[in-house]
Amino acid sequence: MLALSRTLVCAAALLAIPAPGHADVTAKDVQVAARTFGFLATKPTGSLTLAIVYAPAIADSKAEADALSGLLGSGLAAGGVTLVPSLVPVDQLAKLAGAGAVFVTAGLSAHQDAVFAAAKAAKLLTIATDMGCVQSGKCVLGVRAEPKVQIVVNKAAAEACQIGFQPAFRMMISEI
Amino acid sequence: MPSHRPRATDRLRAILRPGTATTAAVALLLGGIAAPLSSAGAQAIDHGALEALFGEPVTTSATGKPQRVSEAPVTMDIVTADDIRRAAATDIPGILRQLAGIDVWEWGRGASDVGVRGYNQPYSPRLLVLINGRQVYLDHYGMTAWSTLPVQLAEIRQIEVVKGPNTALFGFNAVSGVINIITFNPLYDTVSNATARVGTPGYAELSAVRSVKLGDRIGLRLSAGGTSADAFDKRVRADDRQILTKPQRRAFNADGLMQVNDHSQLGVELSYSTARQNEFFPQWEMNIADYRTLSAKATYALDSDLGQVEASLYHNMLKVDVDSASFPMLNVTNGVTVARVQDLFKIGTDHSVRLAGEYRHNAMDNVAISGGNTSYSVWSASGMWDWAITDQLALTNALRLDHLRLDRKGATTVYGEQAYDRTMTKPSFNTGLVFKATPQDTVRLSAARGLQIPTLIEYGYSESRVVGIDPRSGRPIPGAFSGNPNLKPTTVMNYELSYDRTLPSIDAVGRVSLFFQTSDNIKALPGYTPTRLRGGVLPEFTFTNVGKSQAWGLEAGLKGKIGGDWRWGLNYTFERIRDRLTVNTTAITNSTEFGRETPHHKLNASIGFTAGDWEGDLYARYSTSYDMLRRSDNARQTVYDRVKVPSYVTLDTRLGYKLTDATTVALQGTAITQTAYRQTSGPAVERQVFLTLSTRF
Repeated sequence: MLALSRTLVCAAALLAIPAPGHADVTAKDVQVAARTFGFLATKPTGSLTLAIVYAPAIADSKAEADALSGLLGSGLAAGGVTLVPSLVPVDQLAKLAGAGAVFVTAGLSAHQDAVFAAAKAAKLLTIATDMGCVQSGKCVLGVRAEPKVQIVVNKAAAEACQIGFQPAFRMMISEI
Repeated sequence: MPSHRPRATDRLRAILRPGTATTAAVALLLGGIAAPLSSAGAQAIDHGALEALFGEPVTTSATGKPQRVSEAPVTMDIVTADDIRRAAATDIPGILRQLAGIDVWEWGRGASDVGVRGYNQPYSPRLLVLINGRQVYLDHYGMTAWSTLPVQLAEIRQIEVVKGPNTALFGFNAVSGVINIITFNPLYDTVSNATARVGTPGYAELSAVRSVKLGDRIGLRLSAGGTSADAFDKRVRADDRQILTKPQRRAFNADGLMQVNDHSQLGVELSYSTARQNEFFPQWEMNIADYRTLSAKATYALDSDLGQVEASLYHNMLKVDVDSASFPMLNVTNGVTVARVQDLFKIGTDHSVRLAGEYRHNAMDNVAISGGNTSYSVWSASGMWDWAITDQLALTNALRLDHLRLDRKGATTVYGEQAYDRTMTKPSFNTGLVFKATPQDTVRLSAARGLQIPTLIEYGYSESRVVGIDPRSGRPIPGAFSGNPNLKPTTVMNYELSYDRTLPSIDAVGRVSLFFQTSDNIKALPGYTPTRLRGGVLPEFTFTNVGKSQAWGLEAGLKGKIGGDWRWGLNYTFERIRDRLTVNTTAITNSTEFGRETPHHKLNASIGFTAGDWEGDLYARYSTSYDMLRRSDNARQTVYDRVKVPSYVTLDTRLGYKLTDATTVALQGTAITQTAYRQTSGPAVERQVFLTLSTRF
């Protein structure tokens, strides 16, 4: 049985598709991210400020921040919350005060420690479409809507930020 | 005697007659007042929110834990509320008919038997049917009288169809498959619908569903409905015509859920239904059946440090009077009580575990010689372990142990009362490997062992009757028809390989499944060849185990969309069954031969469109020929004829038009290209046309 398991694991590894390191947020990603708020252990309702942390000097980061801000507009309602964007330059993390959650844009790997520390201090959920941020434990929640909805939670990061998810939700996602 | 057919409008008036229970219930629903519900913590599965999140239906019918359908370790289909609304059929068996691997035999209006992957038979006892996890199959014979189900189509969120055994999760009877009907949640979902439908032959229906929120912590969903129709009366044998009855059903259901606090919920469900219909006995004989069912269920769910704990307790009551030429006025009273507790939890990040215990007590007043009862109690322990080996590979194992104690009091069978003091302990399992090779490709490999326990009728039926005349003395020969406490459960093993593929280029999803199934210790009814001769003279006819059977088959299907307006589907089923039954060695037999009764090829196709306020769907079905038995007593003896059901093609359709945002009118038709066609050895199934008015209120 063990041998069979090992063989299957190896087969899976050989056929695995690497998770994308670079991410361009889409409208569907935003919908998925917004709906996950409905499965937090403490479920927020109403208007929720989503702090979009970005580095103006990093093109990928700036582009994703602008794209996300544009998608949210003056507020996007989904899953019981209305997400209102707030652009936060990575060197002004004090502005996270008052936010309901943090979106970590792509290309911020050099700043992820600082962003996570700030979010952790404020007990904020950190979200990214860059699964690398989740795998490194610097983001709690990773979402991708295409080609199939993929939701990954870093359990250690979630515990560090005192973020809990409903049990049914936990059964249906990937935890690392 | 030919049946009189009043106009459909008369039927509708009859249902709406002041003072009837249906009228009162519908009036209550129409008068309900809705209030907004604010968010609250959740324990019950919020199917709607999870489906919106993952972009696909969510189920707990595969393993007991919530899963996306694409990740379930079993082959299953989901019929959604949209599918139901767009269907041409007006009942659940008619809707299921479009799925691959499903056989539906419609004996009369409202009376169908549904088989999954062959082995369909009158009173089809291999299928487990549930509503929100509560069994609605009738435990005296393990059968499902679909017209008794206390549910209206408008309150169904989805119908989950699991193919193959799932005894390790649900217990006995889940051997050919499981059909779990999931309704809209009274706390999370808001639903209101009133439907009036008239049609042929003599058909009228009125139903209403309404959810009501009491503050932000209590939700109720109430439903009531009734139908009335004329019987199918084309190609009916003269003796059957004598007992044709006008089928009708009434059903009421109340489902309430209360958020006790942020971590727990309390649910209560009550239902009542009546139904009258012509159906076919397992002896292949038409009867008239009058059903009355009553159920009460309570659930308590708690999110705790130990996991998601859920306890449920329910009691189902059944009274059915069945009348036929050979079995006049059989009265069955059956009660089943089920208590269950389960804990679902996650260990680390990769392991989900479900532990459950169940107690079931099932009792039936003795039939046909009355006095006393036959009963059994079952203690069960089960566990499920789901291991996410990698992001792409998951292994699920489920194991269940059932310990049954049989008992009989009062009127004895030919085996005597002491023979019923017996116990048995039986294991069942499911194991499945799911490999998501790419986001588009999923492969499943599974094996399962399911158990079909003998039913209370098979254990405890008892009747004395004259079975012939002694040619020498001219005296009647007394015989006994009897249940058998020594019957063994039928054991079903299923092995399966399936492959799912999404095809983004044509916006479609495809699936191919290959299965091989064995059934050992198949149970059969008393024939008219005696099972044994008491004292070498007196014939005794008992339920017996009659051998084994093997089946293998292939199911292939594709469904997709073209643009935003068109939808289509196509599925094909191939199946072969080889019976090795010990009772079919002589020319005289009454035993089912599954191989002859299962069509080898079936094909379903559908196409539909939505254009503005219009919505149209066309469904086609092709089946190759098969044959089935038909009891045909004459003055001297019982005879079983084989009736050939020729291959057929049927076309069903629905055309809907949205009059307002809330109100839709639809014209539906089944078998629209023929007046009637043969589907069983009973009356032919007739063309039906319906006009439906449906509105939210």
